[in-house]
Amino acid sequence: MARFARRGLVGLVAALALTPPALAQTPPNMLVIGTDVGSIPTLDPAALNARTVSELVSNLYDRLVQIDPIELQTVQPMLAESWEVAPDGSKITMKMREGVTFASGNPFTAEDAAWSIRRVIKMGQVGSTDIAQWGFTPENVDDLVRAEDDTTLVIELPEKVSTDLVLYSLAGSSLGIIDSKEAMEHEANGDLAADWLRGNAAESGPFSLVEWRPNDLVITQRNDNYWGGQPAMERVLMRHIPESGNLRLQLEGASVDVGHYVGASDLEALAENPDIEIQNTPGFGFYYIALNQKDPDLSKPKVREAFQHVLDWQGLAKANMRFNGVPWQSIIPQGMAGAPQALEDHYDFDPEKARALLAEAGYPDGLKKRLYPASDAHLLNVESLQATARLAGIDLEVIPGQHVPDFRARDFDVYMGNSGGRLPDPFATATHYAYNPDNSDEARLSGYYMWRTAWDVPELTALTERSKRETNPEARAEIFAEMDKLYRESDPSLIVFFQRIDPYVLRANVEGYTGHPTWTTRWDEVTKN
Amino acid sequence: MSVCDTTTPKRPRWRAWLETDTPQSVRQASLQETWRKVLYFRSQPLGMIGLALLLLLLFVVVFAPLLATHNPIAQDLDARLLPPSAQYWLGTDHLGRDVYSRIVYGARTTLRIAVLVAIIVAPLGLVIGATAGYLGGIVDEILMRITDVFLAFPGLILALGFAAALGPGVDNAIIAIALTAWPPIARLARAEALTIRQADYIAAVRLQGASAARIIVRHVMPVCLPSVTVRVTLNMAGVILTAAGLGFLGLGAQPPWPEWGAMVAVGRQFMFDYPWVVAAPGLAIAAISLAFNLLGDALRDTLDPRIG
Repeated sequence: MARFARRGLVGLVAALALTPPALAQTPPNMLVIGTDVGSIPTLDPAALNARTVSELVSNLYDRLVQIDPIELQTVQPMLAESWEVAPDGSKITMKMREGVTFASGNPFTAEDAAWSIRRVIKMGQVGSTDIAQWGFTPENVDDLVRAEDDTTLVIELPEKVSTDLVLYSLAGSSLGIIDSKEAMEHEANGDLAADWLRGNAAESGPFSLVEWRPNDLVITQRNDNYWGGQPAMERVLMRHIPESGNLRLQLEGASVDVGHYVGASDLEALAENPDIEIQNTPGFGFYYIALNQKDPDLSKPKVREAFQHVLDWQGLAKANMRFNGVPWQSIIPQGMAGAPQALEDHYDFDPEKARALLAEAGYPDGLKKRLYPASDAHLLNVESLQATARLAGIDLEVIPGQHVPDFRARDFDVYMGNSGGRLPDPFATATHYAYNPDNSDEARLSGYYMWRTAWDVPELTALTERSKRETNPEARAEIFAEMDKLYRESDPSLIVFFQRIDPYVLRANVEGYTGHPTWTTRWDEVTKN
Repeated sequence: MSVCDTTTPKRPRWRAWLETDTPQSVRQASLQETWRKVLYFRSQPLGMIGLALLLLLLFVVVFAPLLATHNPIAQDLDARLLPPSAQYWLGTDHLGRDVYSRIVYGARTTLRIAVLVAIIVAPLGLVIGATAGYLGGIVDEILMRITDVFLAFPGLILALGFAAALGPGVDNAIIAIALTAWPPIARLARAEALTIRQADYIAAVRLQGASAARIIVRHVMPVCLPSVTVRVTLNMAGVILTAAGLGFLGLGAQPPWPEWGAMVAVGRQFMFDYPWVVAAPGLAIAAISLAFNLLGDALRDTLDPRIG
């Protein structure tokens, strides 16, 4: 018995000693992405809107149209070969690509497209947020979205809305076209295959799901008869590497090709590495300070104005925010219709000015408030604000933790977070920052940040409504410019300091991986040399 | 001073009084006993190192404003992550704050937690243990089963649970740690109480009509005290580590006030390129834990009844 035990021990030691080192170069036909797989709750396109899972699902499912990753307001064909907009803007008729087959071998038809769009609306989960804004409901979608024949899809619009916006929303990862025959074989109790699609996929895209191990790994395999040509990568792996330092070491050791969510300090070090390339992909969202307008102190315009001058954003731009955001003080993202040409520096860092404003507002001895970060990722910014606000006489008590639910419930004083969006149009940020149709607590419009801060400016809401209906590009640009000006002059409750950047870290030998601002980065063009 | 005075160095009178072979009173005898323990303790170099480190900590805590070279919460984003230099003795952190000054002020938090936990835990454990051990029976059963419940959880997990339930903050961290640190002390006190409850002198006190409460407080607890002191001292290392652990997880001292565990947590992100941000508070935690352990070891030897 003792001998067996000893032999076992020797074997164990030998096995441990002989285990190959964890760091090994990735094979040339395989792309390994180090990311946060733990944030993937489901693979069902209709039920997701987060970044990592959007990228995965965008490669499992093609959409009808896609947005060019560089020319963001250019819609390109995908499964829809072409489309026509009715002169009055009430209808979009799409011609489907012919000869396309799903991964299962089933042929793709307009019926699959109609089924997939209806499904998103009927499920009514987060994936429907963008497209449901145009007035589609579970009741009307069957009539409005229909296949005329195998290659013709008709989308009638329930209300007047810019058709560009509709096309942008169709390019979102939640609008992936599902193999309806395959999916419906797994339907149970009329759930539109929701249960099955949570952990499986009926793919139309360049890659098929092989395995998804939550909190560990996602393995995908290329579809050899993908209509767009066979991808160069045979397999693409998403590995769960939540620790930034670990991810950095693996990127340096070439055991990971692409890294998401690398921390600011590791990015600084990786930027010096010649084998590493960092893509700074702009995002449709901002880093902001939010002031709860239900608070009698913070709702005074002078106090709101004071908060515009207490963040050392120039210092932060060189430090924590160097790879996560660019200084930006408009609610219209850079380069978009109605956006300022360059950074307009309205919110200069000046604690003395802030102190004077507070005194004017009736607080010569300063203010004492609680400060909530959205998550630990914001803790560094929050600590910085705490220190600089102190110089202006604002005493902020930091309450660490995950406070997004408190923000949604209007249960905060001062809050720092960031927003993100998938529609490449200023309308998307306008709905976040300048839209609040009903300011009452009962309305629970927690999707709108302006409601979350309980700030009510009907003129801004009206402008956002107008921008949705307006189809003339020049008129839209004017609306957004006007909105931006009005927003700033009203001393907003949401003070924007940075436009979001999503850094993608790539090994230098990876070509064709272009981080997409709408999180629909594709892998089929990726090559390695 | 004149030279002729000291051919043989004369012992001061108090020392002679303490070291004479013929004590004149009970008080002198007991002070002599204590003196022998002090001498024994002084002969243990490791224990003296521990004591010295703790005295240094105390010194730092008391004179923090004089010792710190910078304001521990003033940030300077242009001077972030600088290596140790003449201006910043231990470098600067991610917000350009002086690491040395933050460690100096962080010592206050650490010592505050350690001392308050000891003040809560020692009497609590002593009372519960001595009562259970002396009274026995159903009281013993109830108290010891409660103790068992607390002992059944790993200390850090339990502290984490309490801290999360009470909310982040130093005061809550102290309560959380105290709630997890008393059971071993109660167990120890009970074991001591069990061995002496049948002693003759206890019986004599009881026959004189002393109440149970009086016997426990006046006659049982003093006997338990030496072993409890040792135990608490040795526990302090664990308490400091737990406090640092809670701080690391964001449940201890809240920003901007420095706390060593929280400093390690933030510095971890910068560990590869700027090791001093995490190394300095890490070493401070290690040094103070070690000091408590060394002191506790030496105390145990000193208070061992077989010695002296």
